[in-house]
Amino acid sequence: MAKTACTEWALALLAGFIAWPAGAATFEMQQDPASTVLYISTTNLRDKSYLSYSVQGDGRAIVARSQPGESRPTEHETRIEAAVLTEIFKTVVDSGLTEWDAERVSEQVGLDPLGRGNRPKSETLAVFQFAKLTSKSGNCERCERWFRYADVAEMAVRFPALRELNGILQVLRMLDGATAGEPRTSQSVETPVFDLESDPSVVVIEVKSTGINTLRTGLLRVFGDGRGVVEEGFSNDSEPRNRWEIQLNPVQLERIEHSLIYNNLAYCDKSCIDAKMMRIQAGNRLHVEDGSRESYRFVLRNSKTGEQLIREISYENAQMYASRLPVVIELKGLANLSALVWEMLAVAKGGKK
Amino acid sequence: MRYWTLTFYLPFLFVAAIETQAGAYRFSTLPAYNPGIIIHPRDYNGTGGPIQVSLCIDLSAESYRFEINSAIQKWNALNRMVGNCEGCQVVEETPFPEGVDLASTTILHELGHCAFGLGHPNLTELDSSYSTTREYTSINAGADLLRGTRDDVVSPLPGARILHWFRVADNDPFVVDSTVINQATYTRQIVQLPSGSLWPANGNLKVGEALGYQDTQAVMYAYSVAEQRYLGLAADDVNTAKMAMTGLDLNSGTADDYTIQVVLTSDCAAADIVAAVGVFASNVLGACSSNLPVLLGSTIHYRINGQQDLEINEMIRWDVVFADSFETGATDRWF
Repeated sequence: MAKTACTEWALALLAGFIAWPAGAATFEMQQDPASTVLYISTTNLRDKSYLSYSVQGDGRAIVARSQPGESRPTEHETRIEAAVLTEIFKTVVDSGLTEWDAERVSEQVGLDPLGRGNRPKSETLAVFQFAKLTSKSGNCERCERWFRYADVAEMAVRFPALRELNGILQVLRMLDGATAGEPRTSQSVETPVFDLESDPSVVVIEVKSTGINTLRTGLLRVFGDGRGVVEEGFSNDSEPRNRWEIQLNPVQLERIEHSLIYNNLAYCDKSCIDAKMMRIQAGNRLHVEDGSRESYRFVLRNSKTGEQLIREISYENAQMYASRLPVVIELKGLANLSALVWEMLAVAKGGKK
Repeated sequence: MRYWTLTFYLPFLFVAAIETQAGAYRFSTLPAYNPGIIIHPRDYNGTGGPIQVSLCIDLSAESYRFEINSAIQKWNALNRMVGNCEGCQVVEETPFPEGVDLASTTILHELGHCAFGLGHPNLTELDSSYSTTREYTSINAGADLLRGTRDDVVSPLPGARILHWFRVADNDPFVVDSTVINQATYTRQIVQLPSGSLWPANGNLKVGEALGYQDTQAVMYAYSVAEQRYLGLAADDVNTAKMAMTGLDLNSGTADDYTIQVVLTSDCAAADIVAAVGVFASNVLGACSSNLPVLLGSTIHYRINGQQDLEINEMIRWDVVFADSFETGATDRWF
């Protein structure tokens, strides 16, 4: 297995440096209360339920959970005892999760780590982040480990020799136990609840896509009552070449709302998406020649306060990135919206739906 | 010879701000890099000699093996030719797509990005609202009303990022002669433009026609239309590739000069480039994706960092008719 720059980490917990050796490596964890030292989320892609744990360096933990059918997770804050957190990280290290090797794991279960070719449909998505893990020598360049895996529970049973998969399950069980019951702090974090703006006079979403090589543009603009227009043309046109008025049905409107809210775009702006991508790609984001650029503008309404949320995001090649980095669910949301532009154009032109 | 009317150009003239993405090398449009950046192969370390750039065809792109092979042969030969483009158009002609897109055209273009580190030798005319990482200047087409010709006026000057390399002697992106490419004959220093030139002439079809070259366009020109086919490389493509091959000292015939041969490999894990079918929006033909490059010696010399992906879009209706399973009669992938 290829060693990374982080294999010489040492792990210390809240009260001083408590270290565990893992093979030749030793691991330690930073105590910064502002740092997220462990993050794990699971998403059931069938019933859309969601659960995540975000643990800070001082043991504070934010648990976000949505039940099947709920489009928005609710959060509460609690605290994990130092001794329990110590055990959790010991499990992390002992099960090899600090040295997760996606290619080796995929080879052992016979899957293509790049997602090319056939692979099972994911039902569960899991992500770990070990932030601010520092090397004793102080030269660790990549002190975070992000990885994702599909169908963890099933694969852990089918491949018991893969200690990493069983480690994920064990860590999840430990986190569940450590955060169960009433929140241990009086401060409760409530996520704002949004709906797609329904005012018929308001453009609630506008998506425009431009191809670098083709210069072809597609635009979708939708009002609060589902009326809309789709346009196509070229980037240097002063007016679109073709324009159709359309009426979105409730399913299509729900799809837009789903992309914005379930895919977290209501809560995560461009810098937030970029930060997630940079973490996953270890700071080395891809540069794409050609491809496409998209701009998104949408209007949501806070269902409690009535305040509008207007967000504009420019992005390139969201569909490509979404296919490569499914863990960044916001990219999937952008990709869904981009795809909808071309689907609606095809419908307007009488092509395939 | 087509005759252009003023009416034809009117929409273009009203475009006030246009991105000067006249890059001859990749990454030169990114503000973080010196606009004179030159991209070298992944395995180049300053020592001259032949360099192999390996390319693996992913199973998803197996149907395009013929087109990939053809593109490799064209780039390996580095032959300059006039009349290399059938069906080429420039932006101002933009018809709506009719017919199918040719996979060979897209693959040849993307291989220029991935294997030779080349950028686009033209403006891409994108709306300046997409401005997060790029810099903008304004430019007009000059007295001849032809965009990309030597009389184009760029402003602010100084201040604009001039990214396009040109021949010092004649600022001609299409001429085929025996000129040896090196820093004495090829530059991006606008002060070295020959008399009568205000702008490095771009390798687009209309510039070629104005200079007397019919049906000639740089393969790395950004814009592509349905049924467009490249028979070979234009001088602009080859010159820019050869400039990089002069190595770190930018002089030809010295010890750090190198050559590139793109070779096929079956080892996709170790390949420099993996050709595959990718997922993009419906207005995308293909793409070349790379990590940001690694500094190599000076602020203008970088080398490719890690494996690159050359992808063609699965959403496009390509011309490749006889897909796999041809022999068995499984025609579900045909159209």
